[in-house]
Amino acid sequence: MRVINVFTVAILAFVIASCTAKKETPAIRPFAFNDSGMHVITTIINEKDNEVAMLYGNKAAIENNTQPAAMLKLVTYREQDNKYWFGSYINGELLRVETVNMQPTANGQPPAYSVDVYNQPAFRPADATARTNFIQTLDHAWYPCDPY
Amino acid sequence: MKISNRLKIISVSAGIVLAVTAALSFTTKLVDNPPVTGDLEAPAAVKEIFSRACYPCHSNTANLKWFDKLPGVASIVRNDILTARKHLNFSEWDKLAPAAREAALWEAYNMINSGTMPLPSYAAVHSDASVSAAELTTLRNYLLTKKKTVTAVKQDSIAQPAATLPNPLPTSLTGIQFMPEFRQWEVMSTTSRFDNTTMRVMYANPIAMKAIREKQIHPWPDGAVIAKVVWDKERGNDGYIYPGNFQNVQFMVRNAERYKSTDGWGYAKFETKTLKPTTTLLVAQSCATCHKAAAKTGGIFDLSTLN
Ligand code: HEC
Ligand code: HEC
Repeated sequence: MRVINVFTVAILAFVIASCTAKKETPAIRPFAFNDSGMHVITTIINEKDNEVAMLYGNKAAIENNTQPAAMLKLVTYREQDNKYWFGSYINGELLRVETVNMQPTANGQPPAYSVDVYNQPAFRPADATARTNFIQTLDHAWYPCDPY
Repeated sequence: MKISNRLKIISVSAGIVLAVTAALSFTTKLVDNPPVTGDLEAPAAVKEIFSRACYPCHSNTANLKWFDKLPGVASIVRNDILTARKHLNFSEWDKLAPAAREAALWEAYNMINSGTMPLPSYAAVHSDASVSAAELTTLRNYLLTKKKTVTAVKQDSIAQPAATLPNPLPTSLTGIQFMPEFRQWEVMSTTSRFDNTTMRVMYANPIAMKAIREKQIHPWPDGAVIAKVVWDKERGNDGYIYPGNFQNVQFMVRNAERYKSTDGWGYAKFETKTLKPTTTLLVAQSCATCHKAAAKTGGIFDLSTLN
């Protein structure tokens, strides 16, 4: 009797295991932000609002973010649980992209600040000067291979 | 007459063999149980889960079922226990530093949650080994009491000295050379850990990025490389968390044939600002063991999912 039980359990378990072990391809989130060749300068976590942002810059901005060709983009995501590791939050839905552009424009002096909002209908933009200042004064994260 | 006699002899001897095997199975000592030097310290409800589901392999108190001792099975079980103890031994908890104990518990949870532990072959025949959803919640709630908060304070904008790459570039014992070009790759994701106090940015080379976009990650194509940069978190005056002290850069390089023994990924870690290559072949094995918990995504953890 005991032997039969063990074998029944073993066979059942094997059948179940081989069914569930079929690789359920997880729904990987598409990349919503195109970096257009810019590089990450730093990363900021806002624990209060469950957000994480990456600051991107073009070559000019990485050298000196107030020179005329400099362009900075602060890309903010909602943080979500990392499905594959309890103990980690990962960037989820794209919320907004703030751009600080030092390119002189026809209708005014740089810096030009703009914000594109996604998945966040209730978002109210903050004061452009304050945001520009915040974005331009963020410190660079230390990378071992910069400038590369 | 002759035939039935022969049958009798055969069945009797078969019976004897069976009886002896069974008797041996009941009495054989499969592994020695060395002394318990310091048992896991955790709330009773948490300990109960580990001792039922994990102690048969990960402790010095292996208490095996008779069928674990059947010929053929015994050598597998014995090997599993000896290997399991080397990786994680709840009976020698005192030998781990406090930070290592906590890391082991987070890892233990994630190994169970991903279906990697207890070993599926074992769980299939030991109905008492499986961990229920309610028990997983118990473990999660316990771990949340160990969640880390950031206390390091960000200094005011001190310009950090620029990097100078070592020349020649360092190479780990797994044959992987530091790849500064990861800076040109696209960002795969960024993570904030609360089981420790680090934050990371992950990069994927063009082959890896293409594989993600085309959902071709079972398995990942040869030539795919993922880089990860790790910093300690620091809290600024404004309350935000920023990357502080640089810790390391880690690489995973896909080559199914060359890195067969580590599930097709080559591993390398370059530590501190000097980019010291610390990954020996033995270390790479431990990298691969933990990355088994990401088997559903081909060994890679940090892919954002649609929830
Ligand atoms: C049948 C024996 C067996 C049982 C039962 C078992 N394990 Fe394991 N465990 C192993 C073996 C063997 C390894 C080494 C795997 C490898 O090298 O790939 C291992 C490795 C691990 C590791 C990796 C440690 C490291 O090196 O970083 C963790 C964590 C772990 N087990 C947790 C658990 C937990 C938690 C349970 C209970 C829910 C459990 N195991 C039950 C056999 C077992
Ligand atoms: C205890 C478990 C564990 C061990 C051991 C481990 N890793 Fe990982 N690794 C992780 C987790 C979890 C992540 C996801 C990180 C995050 O969310 O911040 C990760 C992520 C990575 C990544 C980014 C790709 C990915 O999977 O998301 C690389 C590269 C990497 N690890 C390399 C290594 C190397 C090299 C070693 C060995 C020197 C190693 N790992 C050992 C758990 C582990």
